[in-house]
Amino acid sequence: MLKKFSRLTTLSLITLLTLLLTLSACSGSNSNTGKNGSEGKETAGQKENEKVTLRFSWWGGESRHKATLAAIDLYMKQNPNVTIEAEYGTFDGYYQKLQTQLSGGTAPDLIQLDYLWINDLVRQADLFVDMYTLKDTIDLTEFDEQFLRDWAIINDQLQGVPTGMNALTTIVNKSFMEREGIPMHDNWTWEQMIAEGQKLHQKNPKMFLINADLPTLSEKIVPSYHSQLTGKYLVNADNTLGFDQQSMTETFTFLKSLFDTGVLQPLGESALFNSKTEQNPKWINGETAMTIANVADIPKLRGTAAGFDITTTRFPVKENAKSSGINTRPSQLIGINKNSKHIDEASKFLNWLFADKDAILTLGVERSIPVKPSSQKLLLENDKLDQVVATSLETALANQAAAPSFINNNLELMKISNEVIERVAFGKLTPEAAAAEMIERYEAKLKEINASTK
Amino acid sequence: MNKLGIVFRNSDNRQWIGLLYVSPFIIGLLIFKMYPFLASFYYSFTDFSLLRAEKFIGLSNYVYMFTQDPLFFPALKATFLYVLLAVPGKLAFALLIAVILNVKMKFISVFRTLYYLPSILGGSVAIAILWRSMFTKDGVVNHFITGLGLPAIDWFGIPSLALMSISLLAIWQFGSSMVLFLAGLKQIPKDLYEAGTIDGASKLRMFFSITFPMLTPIIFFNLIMQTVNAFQEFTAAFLITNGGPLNSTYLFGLKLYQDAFQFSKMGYASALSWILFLSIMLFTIIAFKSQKYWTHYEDGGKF
Amino acid sequence: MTSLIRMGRFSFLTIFGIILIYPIIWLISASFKPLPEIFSSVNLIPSRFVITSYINGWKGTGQFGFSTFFTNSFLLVVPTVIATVLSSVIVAYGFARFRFPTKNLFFSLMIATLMLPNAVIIIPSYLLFRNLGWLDTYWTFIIPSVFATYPFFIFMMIQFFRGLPRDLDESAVVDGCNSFKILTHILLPLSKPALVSAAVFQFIWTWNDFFNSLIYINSVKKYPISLGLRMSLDTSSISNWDQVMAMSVLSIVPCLIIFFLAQRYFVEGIATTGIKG
Repeated sequence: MLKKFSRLTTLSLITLLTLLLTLSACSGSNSNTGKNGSEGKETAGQKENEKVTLRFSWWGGESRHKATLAAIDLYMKQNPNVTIEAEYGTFDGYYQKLQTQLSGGTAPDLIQLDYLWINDLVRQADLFVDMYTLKDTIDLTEFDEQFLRDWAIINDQLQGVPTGMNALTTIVNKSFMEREGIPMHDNWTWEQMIAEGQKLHQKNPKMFLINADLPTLSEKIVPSYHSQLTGKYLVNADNTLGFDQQSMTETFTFLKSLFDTGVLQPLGESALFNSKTEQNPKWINGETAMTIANVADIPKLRGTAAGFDITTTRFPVKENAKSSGINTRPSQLIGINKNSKHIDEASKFLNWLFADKDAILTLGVERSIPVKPSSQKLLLENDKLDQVVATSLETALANQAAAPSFINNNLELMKISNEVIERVAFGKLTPEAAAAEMIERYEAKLKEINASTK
Repeated sequence: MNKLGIVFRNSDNRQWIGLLYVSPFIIGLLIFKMYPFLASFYYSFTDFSLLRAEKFIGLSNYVYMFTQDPLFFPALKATFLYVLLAVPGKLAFALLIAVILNVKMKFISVFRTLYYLPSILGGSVAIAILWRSMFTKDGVVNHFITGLGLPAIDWFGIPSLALMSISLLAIWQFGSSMVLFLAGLKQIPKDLYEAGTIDGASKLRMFFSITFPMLTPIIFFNLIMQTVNAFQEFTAAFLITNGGPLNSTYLFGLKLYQDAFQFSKMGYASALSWILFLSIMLFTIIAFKSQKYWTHYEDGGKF
Repeated sequence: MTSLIRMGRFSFLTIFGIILIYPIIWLISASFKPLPEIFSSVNLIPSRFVITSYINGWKGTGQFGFSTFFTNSFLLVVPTVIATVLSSVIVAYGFARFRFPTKNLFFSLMIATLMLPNAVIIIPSYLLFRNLGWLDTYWTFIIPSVFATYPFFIFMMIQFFRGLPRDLDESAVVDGCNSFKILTHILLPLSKPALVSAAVFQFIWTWNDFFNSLIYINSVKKYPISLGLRMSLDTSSISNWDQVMAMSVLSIVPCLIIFFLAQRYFVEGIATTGIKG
């Protein structure tokens, strides 16, 4: 009995001790207050050689990591009082983590952002420093005002600096075209695409003219086709619908014809390679002639091309188009966290990344072709500019039209597009019914969005 | 006799010790689980969006879910189907292979490891790629099928089949259930089988009279755990199909994730998760109540 | 007759086994293929046997290679596993062998915590860990394990304990054992397969955990393998899939070894003689 109770006391003492330890850990650590707690900017009065640590987050592949780390090393050597902690990884989960960090007030000082996210994030809260307030530190002179206005300025604030340029293009398997005797136009129209595609597929049912998966259809082809048809994107700048029953029906009819004529691989087959066209055996083994993609995708599509040459041509525009539907967009943006404790140092570093010769050369085209013409020239002079990529971008720039308004990139709206387009492609929805559904759901969603915007 | 008497007189004291043993869990519950649970319950009645302060909106999220969200019922349906496909398949294979492997034979360790290997891979990115390429029109699975003389199946062209392919992934990873069955089989006293053989019972008879009843606690456990996990499955849908085609694999776990982190609607996602919680809870209560009809506990069934 | 059964069993297990692990064989062979070949051919045998993917993959990207990631994974996983098994056993014993007031309440709560998906729990948990100062450390994994926050293992041990007759306990009481001695001297030795299963499972699941690690760990130098494997995958640049394959294969190896070593606890059965009757 006595032994039992001494065991008992021992156990309860251990438990109590653990409890006390945990509680002391709770109270002893700092507690950040809420998400919108401003952490006091340190502007003037910061000593020159005060040690500063900046956190910089980005996503990317191996080469981008290497290049960015090299650039960071260079900066740290030149600025010994600054330590930059790199937080890098994959794209999967980046957005989730970023939102978690923003919510918990633990986001890094410099953040790489997808241009698709900016509007969704910023319409809920002021999260990033307005770069215009940092004009003294960050040299924005060579950044095209319109480009910034289209992609980075929301609520009259410049939310981030674009790291590079991206645009719609068509990547062509040169060997395929020669082998199958398909004429290489400089400026393809959709009508030509459909005609050639139909011929090709009839000749050999295993072959398709174009590789385009569902994301390509809903993010690239459908919006730009509609713009080519009517001059308007799906949502106008004032958040009203840019399409109506007729224009959308025509667009969906066009879409359906791409599948009916055998220009595109059926979605059921390409679905496995959504956003991973470079893994689609049809491309790898040279059974498709072209891929509709972004300029920035050229390296990876070229990388898996099994022994054939690629070239690029302009993104297809329909005959008698009201607008080309092609626009350049930023590859990413880098923004500065509004709650950063070191906005000055962060902006200095950011400026250096885009202004310093060595930085530009080190970063190269890891984030696509730089925006500033002088940077492009620098890369060209040092043979760091991929000729194919450069030409492709030039073509797009020469043909570009007005950019869509920010709301077009809203992820929920895009999901609606995705679903409707998918059902049309699978033949589950007629173009007319699809257009009607599109109108209904877009309108409902836009109402919600308007209501939840601050 | 005297000592036993003491035990039973002090049985009340003795039972309280149980609380002491359970106390680490209680502390962990209070510190690490209660706050997140209650917070998410609270969020479900707000329009919380991670980036700004939330506003209380009462039952709006729940109303929206049932009346306006076009993806709510499809996601539920896809998830229920997934559970119905994945869980029985997993358990059946696990039990079958465990019984077969519960013998002394050469290379038994190799075989056990082999059959457990798929489960070690978890949510591997490499396996996601592999699974995709296996189920293409001219992928390995179709090679196998056409080899048997059947027509090739368009796994991702027909929506209901896409769900089957990710259910197959779950079934393929039956290893952990199998291991638990093996552990359960090892716990069955050998003398029961000896007694059975003496009484002249056949192997099959012994399976149904000895093995199966003794295994029911583990069967019950596997059933509950696999079902609860299957309802919340997210990784497979996220990595392999991203919900497509035509939302046939748009599992509830994926819908939650997208609503929470891609559309910034954490309040709504919390409401969704509590509906999922209630569904799973319903199933679990029914299962627990059903225990008295078919599970056998050596401790006399008193809990 | 029995040798026929034995041969039949052996061949069935072998054939079915090979079919079952075909994807893994493919994975291993892909890790030895040059990059362009991985997606273009379905052959199991590489046309050219290369080990560059292993060499380059090990070096990793940027500042840290897989030696760091492997070490980190061990630092994260091993304490978690030990803590989980110990605490789960103790708690399960309390549930399985005692009847105290509030028991059903806590048991139900325990099961209930399994049913809310991680995606909505993670934000409040994140805030909690932030306040505790545990972000970017492994404490977010280890400390909760100390407090038995993994109902899977508690429930599992409960089921196994309940499969052991109470007579064992009671005869031990007669012999003068207190409750703790009953646990350590009677129940645990009979539950070795279950304990080992719990340890193996927790090892593998924590080893493979991606989303929790992603959210709670910031510094690249603290990345475990699960994050390291996906680090260099990008949607708009060439991904070194060969390296990812190679490192995926390597990351399976510790789990395999652990499982293989755990095998001997499944070999011996239990013979509890003389208790009944």
